[in-house]
Amino acid sequence: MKNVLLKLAAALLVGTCAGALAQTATPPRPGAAGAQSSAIPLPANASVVGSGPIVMPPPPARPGGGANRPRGDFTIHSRHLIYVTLPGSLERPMFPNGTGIVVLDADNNYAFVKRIHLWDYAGSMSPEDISGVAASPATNMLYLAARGRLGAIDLATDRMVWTTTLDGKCCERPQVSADGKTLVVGSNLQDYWYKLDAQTGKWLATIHAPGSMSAHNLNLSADGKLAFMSPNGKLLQIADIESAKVVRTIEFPDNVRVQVLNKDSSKIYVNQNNFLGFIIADTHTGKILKTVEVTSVDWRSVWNRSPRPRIPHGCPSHGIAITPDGKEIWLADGLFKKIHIFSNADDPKEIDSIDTPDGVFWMTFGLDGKLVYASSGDIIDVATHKIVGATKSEFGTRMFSEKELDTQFLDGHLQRVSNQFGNEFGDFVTAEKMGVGPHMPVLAGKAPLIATPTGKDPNEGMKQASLQ
Amino acid sequence: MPATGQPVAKEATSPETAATKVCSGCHTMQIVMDTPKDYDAWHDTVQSMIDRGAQGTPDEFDLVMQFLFQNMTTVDVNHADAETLMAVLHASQATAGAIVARRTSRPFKDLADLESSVPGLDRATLDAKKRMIFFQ
Repeated sequence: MKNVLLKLAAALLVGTCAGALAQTATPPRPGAAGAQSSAIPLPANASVVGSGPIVMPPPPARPGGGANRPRGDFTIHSRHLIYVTLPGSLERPMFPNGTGIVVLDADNNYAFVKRIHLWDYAGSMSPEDISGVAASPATNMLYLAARGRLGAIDLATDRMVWTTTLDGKCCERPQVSADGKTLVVGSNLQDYWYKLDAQTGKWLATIHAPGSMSAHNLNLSADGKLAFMSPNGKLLQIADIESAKVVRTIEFPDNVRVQVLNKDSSKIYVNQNNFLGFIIADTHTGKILKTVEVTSVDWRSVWNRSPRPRIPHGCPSHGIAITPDGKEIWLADGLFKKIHIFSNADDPKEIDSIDTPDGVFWMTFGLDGKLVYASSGDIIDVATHKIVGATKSEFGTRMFSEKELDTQFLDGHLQRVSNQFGNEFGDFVTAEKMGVGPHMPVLAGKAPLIATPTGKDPNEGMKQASLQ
Repeated sequence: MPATGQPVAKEATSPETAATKVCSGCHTMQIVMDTPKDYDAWHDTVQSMIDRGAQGTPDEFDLVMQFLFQNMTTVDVNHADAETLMAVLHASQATAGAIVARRTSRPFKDLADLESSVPGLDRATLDAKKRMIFFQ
């Protein structure tokens, strides 16, 4: 009986589809009977029905007969991992969770997997803050920016492939292009960004942004062609990565902090100093479209108290994200230890808030946008607005980091990786699915060691003078 | 507090439910139902989807392949093995055997030839799947 029902359902499903195709009265397509010419060479007996898909005949049977079919041999060696870089937050002094990258298994209750060693630090010295992290499926590398240097880690071996200090004034948040060829990274609070070869770390060009001292955050458009460079200053500059030239600027009333983009990168949503809320600007015209303030808490009386409350980053809100369905805007509130959630409408309204155990100063959306990894160590379900877990170290201690990545691997080869910035278009694979991103080829597993660690700085000898 | 944000989905136990669960997790079923392919091409497609993060158990992926085999796989009536004929044409073992016996002496010309020569085939199924049935 079950089989009969199964066949009936399948026949109906296929029949509906075929019926719809048969009713389509459009001119014959290349390869179809009656077509004027055939730009696409098709087998004579390819099945073409109306405007429906071209169905190719099956390949010839194997010599001697027998089925061509492989059975049950799918390679399912995928890993869904969270990379938490340390020390990656200003929230806690004394680096309670040590240094390195702690890897957690997202498919196994966020169990500790390993800690990746980074640079050598003297025990007597404070390690540099990690200022940003990005990764590329194309190069299978993870890029780590710290105040003073930049490093690339081969994700097949977890070894550092190259590390560079550039001109001695690097580095801030990095971003890597979809094809894995270009790495853009901010200088350490200077007025320029570096354009590097993502494979080798070689310095290719400098993107100068005069008027934007204190290079800080860096975001890429959905198609990966434009760099949105925000200093800890009022002038956000948009650069064409190919030419390494600034093409537009947007001026904000106060210093810009975290920034995210909508689906087609036509609007930018930013945090601003001395403001609990966000500002929306048009990225084409540079015009401020909307200023949205949190009104559910009396933040002004707290913020304007003397002496002013001291919180990490020195601003009431340092963290903003747009949910991938485009419906909500999440806003970090370090002052009241909350996340405020707004409707993403022409006139955004606060619809909910989440109380967090510690202040949130960054929010990283996971792949597919179902979970948020907050810098307070909280893992939050996007649909229910509930805290559902925490990122913990091998010692069971909660980790505070603003620099985390959600990754999907197959046989050691990175397939997808989240962006640090909570853009509406998510990662490049999601952006392609939305129709706004570049094509992301499906990659094979079994990652080869792409680059051999050299132990040398690819930009050794570079001087500040070379920037002129 | 549970330290997880991963809801545990119930494992699918039929080809349809497996296909709906695994494929619809990322895209609509329309994409699946649009373009019939041969079995090996479907196998490669499912592997690609797994590589891109499709979630399922090994048994669920086998059920997905079963669904695709029965519903969206192309067949060359004059060369396919009996198992493929049974799955794709929804034919009994005896009917598949009759197809193989007939084509050995005289290959089928077209769908009408198949229908008129071999009893036991479901006309509605053949009609619905005619774009997937080839005579090479």
